[in-house]
Amino acid sequence: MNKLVIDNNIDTSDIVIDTDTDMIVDLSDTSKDIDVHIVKNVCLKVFVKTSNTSNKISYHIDENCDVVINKLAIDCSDSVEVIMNNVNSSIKYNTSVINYNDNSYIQKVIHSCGNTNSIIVNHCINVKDKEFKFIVDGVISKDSSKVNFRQDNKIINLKNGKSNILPNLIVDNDDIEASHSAYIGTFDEETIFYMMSRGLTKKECDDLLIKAFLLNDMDLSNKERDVYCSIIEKINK
Amino acid sequence: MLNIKKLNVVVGDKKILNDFSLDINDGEIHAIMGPNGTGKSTLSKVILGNKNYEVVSGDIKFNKKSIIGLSTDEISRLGIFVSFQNPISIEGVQNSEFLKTAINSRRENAIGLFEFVKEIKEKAKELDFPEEMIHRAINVGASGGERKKNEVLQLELLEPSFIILDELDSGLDVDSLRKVCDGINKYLKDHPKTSVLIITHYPRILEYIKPQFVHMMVCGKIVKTGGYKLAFDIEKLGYSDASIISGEEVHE
Repeated sequence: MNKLVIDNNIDTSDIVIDTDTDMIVDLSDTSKDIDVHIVKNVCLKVFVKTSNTSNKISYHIDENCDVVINKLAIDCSDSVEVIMNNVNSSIKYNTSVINYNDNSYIQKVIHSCGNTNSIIVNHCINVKDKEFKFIVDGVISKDSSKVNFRQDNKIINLKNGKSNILPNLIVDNDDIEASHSAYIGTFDEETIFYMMSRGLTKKECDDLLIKAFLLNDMDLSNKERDVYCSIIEKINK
Repeated sequence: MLNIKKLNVVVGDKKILNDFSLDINDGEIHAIMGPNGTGKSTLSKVILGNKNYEVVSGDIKFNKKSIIGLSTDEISRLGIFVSFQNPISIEGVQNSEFLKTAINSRRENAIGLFEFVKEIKEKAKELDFPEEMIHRAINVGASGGERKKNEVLQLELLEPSFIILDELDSGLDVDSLRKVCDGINKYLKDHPKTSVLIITHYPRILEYIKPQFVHMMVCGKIVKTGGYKLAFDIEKLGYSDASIISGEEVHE
């Protein structure tokens, strides 16, 4: 397994992954354009940690690839494009955002080829009274049969932040499965009551629920989980 | 221990508890039986300070201090525990982490990892609660019986002095009910001053945890109080006929 680290010192905008790879992306205060080309028969697992970024990242996925991306972003206005260029490939893309300022996260998944799968999970904790927006497009072209596209978007407002989700499915083929969901709100009242009935303060409940909300869908090693937990624990201080 | 006096509770325009009064002393076991929708489960939520219910008048005192207006977590930390009728599941929140936080919320010094693991494993084993569920998300994928066992596991770890068992027997098969009740009886033996309020439709659970007092609740208030036998009269005769058989009428 190859290991690749992309940090602020990166001086290329084109990355080619031609063997199974664990990629670590650690960027802060950047505004870069990066193209990642995943050639055929490759498994790529990406662990992303970003802060205050407005990057434009494109993943070009070739035939028979398996891509898993786990991204934790603080104040993220990134624009991400996933292009499924060839058959029998899949991507699971989990994005968890911790938002403190006005930001929009744009994500576009293009199924240019049939027999491709994508699962997109976008979660955001909007911490303050700021505006956050998920704009998520799924595009399935006329020639792309047997596509499975799932998109799940949730934003939890801890205060009175203005949140918005624009989930779009642009589908030009009958022989596909596609679904999308959007939820904006607070943590469930009944859940909070149950937890408080065991003696947890409201803050302790929020801390546990925030961690669960941001990490539950991610496929992480213990070390990666610890890194994310140490970031998340600072949210509700 | 717990004194409820002339409690009136509403949700919106609907009156749920109607001049409800009940006194439970240290170490006593009481049972409340009543038809559906009479306010039995509401009572447990009101005692826990659920903000969806408005206390219009009356008082609830726990160890001589009013708990009206306290938050749910404060009431819990005073030593009141409700085993819920339908324990919810919580995605992503691990049972062990939740329990550890709950235990630490009532201790000055955080419980050591070794002590916590030892205690939780011992108690889970006694209840036949699958050990792997301790490390899973709370009640996610759990059967009705496992959920109830989890409630009793929480009870044993949090060591309350007043316990409300809200339809503990629903969702439990005979063996599981016996196991869970054995756990509670052992806890009561080890903590003889602990009081219990059992909310139930059927007397089956009362054969395992025997109450000294049985109350019949209709339309948000207790209309009759009797001994253990009243529970069986209610089952045999129904609520309308049982009211004229045994026990004392409650007069205002």
